[in-house]
Amino acid sequence: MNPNLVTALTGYLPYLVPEMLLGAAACVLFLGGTWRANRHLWGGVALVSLAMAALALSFNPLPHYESASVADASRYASPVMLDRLALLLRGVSLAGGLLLVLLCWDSMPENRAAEYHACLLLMVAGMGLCAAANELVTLFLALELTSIPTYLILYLGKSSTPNDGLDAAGQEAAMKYFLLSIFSSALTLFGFSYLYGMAGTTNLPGLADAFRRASDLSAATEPTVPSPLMGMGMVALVMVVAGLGFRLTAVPFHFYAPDVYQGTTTANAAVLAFVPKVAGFAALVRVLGFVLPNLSHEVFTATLSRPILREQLPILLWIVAAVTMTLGNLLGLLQDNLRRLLAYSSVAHAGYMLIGLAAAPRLLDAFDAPVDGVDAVFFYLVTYGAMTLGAFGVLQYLSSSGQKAETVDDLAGLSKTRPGLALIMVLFLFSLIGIPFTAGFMGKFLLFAGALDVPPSQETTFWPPDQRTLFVGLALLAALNAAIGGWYYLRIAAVMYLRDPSPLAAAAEGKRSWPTLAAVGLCGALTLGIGINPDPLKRAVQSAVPRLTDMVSVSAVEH
Amino acid sequence: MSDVRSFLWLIPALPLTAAVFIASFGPRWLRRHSHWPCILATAGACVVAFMAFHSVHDGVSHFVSAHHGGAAEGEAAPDPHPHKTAVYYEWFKVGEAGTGHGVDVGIALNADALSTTMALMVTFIGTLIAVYSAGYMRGDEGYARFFAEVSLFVFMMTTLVLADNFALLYLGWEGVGLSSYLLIGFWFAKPAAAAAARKAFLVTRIGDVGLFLGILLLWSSFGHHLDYQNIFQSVKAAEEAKTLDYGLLTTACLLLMCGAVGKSAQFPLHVWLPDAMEGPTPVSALIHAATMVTAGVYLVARCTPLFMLAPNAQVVVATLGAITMVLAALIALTQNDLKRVLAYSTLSQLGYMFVALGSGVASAGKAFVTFAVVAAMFHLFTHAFFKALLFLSAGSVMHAMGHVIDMRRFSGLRKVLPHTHWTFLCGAFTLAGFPLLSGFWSKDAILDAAWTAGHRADHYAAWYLVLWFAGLATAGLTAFYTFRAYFLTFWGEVRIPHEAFEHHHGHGEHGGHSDRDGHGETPRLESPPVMTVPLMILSVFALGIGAALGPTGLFEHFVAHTPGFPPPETESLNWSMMLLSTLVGLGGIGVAYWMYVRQPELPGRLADAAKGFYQLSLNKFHIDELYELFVLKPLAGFTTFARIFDLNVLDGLVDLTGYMLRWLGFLARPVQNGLVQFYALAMVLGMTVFLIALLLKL
Amino acid sequence: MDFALSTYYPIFLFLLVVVGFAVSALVATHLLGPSRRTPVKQMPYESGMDPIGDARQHFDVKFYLIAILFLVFDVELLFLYPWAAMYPWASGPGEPSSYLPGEFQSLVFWEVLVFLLSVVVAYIYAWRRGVFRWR
Repeated sequence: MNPNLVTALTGYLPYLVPEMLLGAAACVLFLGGTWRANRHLWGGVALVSLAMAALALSFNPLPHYESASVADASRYASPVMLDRLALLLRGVSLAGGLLLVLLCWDSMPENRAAEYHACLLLMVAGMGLCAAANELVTLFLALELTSIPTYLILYLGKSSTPNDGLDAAGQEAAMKYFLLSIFSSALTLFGFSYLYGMAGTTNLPGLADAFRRASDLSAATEPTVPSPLMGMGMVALVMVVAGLGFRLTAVPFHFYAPDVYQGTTTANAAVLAFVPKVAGFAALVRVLGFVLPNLSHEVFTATLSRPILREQLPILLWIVAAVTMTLGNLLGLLQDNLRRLLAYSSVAHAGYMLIGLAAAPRLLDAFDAPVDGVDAVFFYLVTYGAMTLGAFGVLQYLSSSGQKAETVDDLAGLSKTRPGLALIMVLFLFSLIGIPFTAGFMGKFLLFAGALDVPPSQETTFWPPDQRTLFVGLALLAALNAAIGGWYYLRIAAVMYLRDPSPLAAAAEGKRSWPTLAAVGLCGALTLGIGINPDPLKRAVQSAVPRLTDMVSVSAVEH
Repeated sequence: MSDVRSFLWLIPALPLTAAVFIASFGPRWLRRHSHWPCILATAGACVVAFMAFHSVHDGVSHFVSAHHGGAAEGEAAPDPHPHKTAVYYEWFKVGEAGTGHGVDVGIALNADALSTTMALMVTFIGTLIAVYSAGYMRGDEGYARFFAEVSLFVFMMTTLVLADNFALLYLGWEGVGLSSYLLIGFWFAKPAAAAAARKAFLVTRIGDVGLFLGILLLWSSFGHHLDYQNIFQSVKAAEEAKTLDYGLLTTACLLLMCGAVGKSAQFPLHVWLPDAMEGPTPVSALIHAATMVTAGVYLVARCTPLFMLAPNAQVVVATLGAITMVLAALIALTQNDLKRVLAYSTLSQLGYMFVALGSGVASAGKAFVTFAVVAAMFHLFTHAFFKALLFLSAGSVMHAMGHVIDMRRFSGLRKVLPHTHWTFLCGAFTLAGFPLLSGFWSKDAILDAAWTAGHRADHYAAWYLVLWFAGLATAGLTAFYTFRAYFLTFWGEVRIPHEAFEHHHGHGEHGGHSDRDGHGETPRLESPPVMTVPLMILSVFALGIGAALGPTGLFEHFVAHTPGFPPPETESLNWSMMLLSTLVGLGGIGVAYWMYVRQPELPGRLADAAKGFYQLSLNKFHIDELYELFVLKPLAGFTTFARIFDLNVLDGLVDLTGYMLRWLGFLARPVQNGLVQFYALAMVLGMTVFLIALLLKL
Repeated sequence: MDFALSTYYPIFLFLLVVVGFAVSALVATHLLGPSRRTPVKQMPYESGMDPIGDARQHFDVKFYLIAILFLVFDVELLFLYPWAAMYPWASGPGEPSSYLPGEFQSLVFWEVLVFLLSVVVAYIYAWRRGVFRWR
């Protein structure tokens, strides 16, 4: 048998040790939890296993292929793609897992702690695999690996005593999430099956090649008539985007988010706000083929140079981004429940991130654009994670120390009862608004810069307005949205600072949840650190996402 | 003296440190000593600002002496626009700035004539107001919070004026907006204060959107720079190469102007400023009279090199300024709230500055820009002193009267508040443009600028003459309403609201003795020295600074050396203009005196009661009626109209935006109906819509 | 390839045996076993629940747990069967031993063991959590 193929099919295993470790640790936690019920013990085990996974990842970060043919074989046969993007996102998911374990430490009943942490570890593994997927099958399995533990934690986190069932809201939340999530998974899978049926392969680079051949063929034979294969491909991609849109909370697939966030615990809402977003964006970027490193530039640009992807995909994502951020912010204005408000906020932020994806194919023409679109998305994903987890962490800390933190009014006078916590909450809120010197500002800046740099279209467009006008309009809409969003975030800040605490809140002096506090502190440091010195993260995402324009310009020099 | 760059950063850093320090330790440990860090930091910043100012001034005098006496041999010709830019930190850099789609934002401060003058003014007045506040705010629940927020404001304001690029300017711009929001809403338990804070924040934010877009437009159109000098240079280069897109430049200038209009409360975004008087009076003095509201003027002055190439934008600036100037003066005539009179007067004076900024037209190669912009800056400078003085004096009145500020509730306070009376009088004379006082010189310069523009401008010359006339008329109105307020407050029968005594009873340890009987011998309710001493210092400056800097040309010759300003044209003093404005000003004062003093409330007549009380009353009735009929009725009609327009139409428009958004949200709300079946259906429908849309396009 | 009925003879045989076994077993029990009719035995589902009545009644969750556990092992079997069929058997020299290339044999062996282990973990977990304790 071809030794290159053998390498491709087996050589990746040592690089997946972190995920294997996490899986093994999850098994240990599941079993161990049946003997001992102790949140500190099992939380500690989860932290140690995350640390070990991180260690394993740092020992074996990127594979080195001896020759181009080995690399080529890996690209077309290996179920995982171990490139820099995968490395970045696996690192991000490990870091996010660390934050989530700390944040959720005191959120669940003592006898559920082990299972809860096991679920978190499985989700972390799932996120990492999503980012590394090179196969539709791997991708789907990885997506399910993040989804199924989510169903579990929706049940595990809520009940307070062993025999105490879920309350009605919790049940409703868990059920809604479960039903709609499997529904969206089915949509994704349906789309995948179309892709497989058309291309005869589940391998992502292979799919890209198939599309290229199809479009070249139709361009060569009948340039004016679009190929039916491309049309079917578009249908498949719409289904995939719809299925993944559920995970990104993109409108109109966002409906579950407010209900579920409100019904479940704060810690669970934090998990839901972070994990599916990372997995969804990683999957979307992989499937839509924005990131195909090690590919020669011909494959890449040809894939995207055909009208089907160049013209219609950006429009689709443009519409989804515009509707998502606007609806999220408008409905966010009306909310009083904190988790519901943050749910709409997470919808709105998904909209901002989609701007980057929408602009990415168009930015191929902008040789001197400072951002690629995709790098901005992942930059924003990290900052979003830090600030959203931080905000949820503050709420979780409050509720675990016995203070009610359900509605905006419950935070009244927080600056008087807990000044430090109020200050750090304001930091997160400012970052969510996008005020300079916070991470959120840099994230928004890079996304908007991408949209503003879209060059005017050279060829005729199918849509009357010029692409540049369209995307400048999108950036303006996003700026307007950021202003609307500022209103409801500042409202929380105003309630914390300008109102007097209710006597109940002032009297609540429960136990301090140090791990949650540590998570909040880490998020705060991250939010402020990225805001003040964004360069390391920016370099990281830019090296993770190969410069598409670099590839094209290199080819131009070569020719 | 060492390089200005080595200490320039201290100007914003000191107040920031104080803000963090007070916020961290104030409520727990400093408590009623919370004012010390703020005062010390602001005073320190003032000293540093003076050093920076001095350093730039050295550069200017070096140039002037070299220019006149010939440069020494072997020495490079001195810079006509001495400035030092200190880049402290490169915050982020994307791409290559200037060469493509790059952007380069750093914390860079800039010391030149304009910025150091502003910084000096801000920190100096800030120090005096911080001292004053230590007395005014004593015993307040949020004492520490107040000084933390004031320090934060000084930090943001100095950042704004010292910034070397638009990004940092924008940071300071939003920062002062935030501090202003916090300080207007300082007594947030009062619904009016909370509403005013929100209104101020929202209305200025409308302008900020314009500023933001303007910055983006400048960045994208003129070489992807964010720092002033590079933008100005690329615009200048484009102009010299005849490739400048004037439409684009005018749009950018108008967008910047939107920000300035919001922040400086110009028509039609002026509605927030009178409401902002709900904040503590030192805040009104510092933020809403002396410093923050002048940020818009500063911005336009800073962008002079852009505006001078866009005469269409300039005429819009001048016109909006003139509308605000007249409208606010007319409204101020009928206000009964002392602070509101001053607030409308601030609007009106800011309008003057905008008229001057807009009058800096470049005509047929003869650059007369610098003269006009310097006139605006000069008025800004003197106005900061005398308006802060007036506000603080009003605050002193309010403090003594137990937080009563309605002029109908007190009168004849001359004897009751002797120090405050004198300081208020100084401020009033200066504001009214009494000859040889500060306001006289600066207002005269503005009128001169508008007059010159009316004769020299290539476009809109006649219109500038109209604006000049409006300015002259407003000068008369200004003198009138200022002295109306003065006479109503300090002259006439001694009337003191009962709150004054309750107030002093509660805080018996300061503010003189408390005489429970307001109708016996005149009680002394004067504010403590910690409040009156800053007032006296301000009085001296308010009276003298104009005469010291104006006719001597010191101010003009210094500020004109700001980088980017065209070389100034020497202007001789316009004696006839001075005479005219003196007459108008004195006329206004005279009318006010006649109507409010020579009338029934005249104390002399009261003493001379032999003529009979009935007759007096009758006279009052008649003259009041005449006054009503011939002066007030028409004016009141117009003011009422202006106010109704203001409250109903402009306020309504502002509120409408907010309601529209919420209403849109309500429209979208029923979709979120909680039914899981519907959610699934919506997902499928959404997907189907996309599919159909895409397939139809195939 | 042409259709050849002979290819399907084993399947027909299999079907025949299955049907024959079922029928003969039913017939044999009917004939051989004692037949005492009681009301309980007359019920359609003797060891289940009364099928007549309101359909909206609470089910004991234990039924689900057992069903899920059954599913786990059912799926396990589903995976094991192709694995067993693909795995190389000791066969004569020169014959292709299996469809699985030699390089993957040990890998696939250990993979399935890991899979079995994970099912065992699920089993132990269910056991410890008392799924098998009926009451």
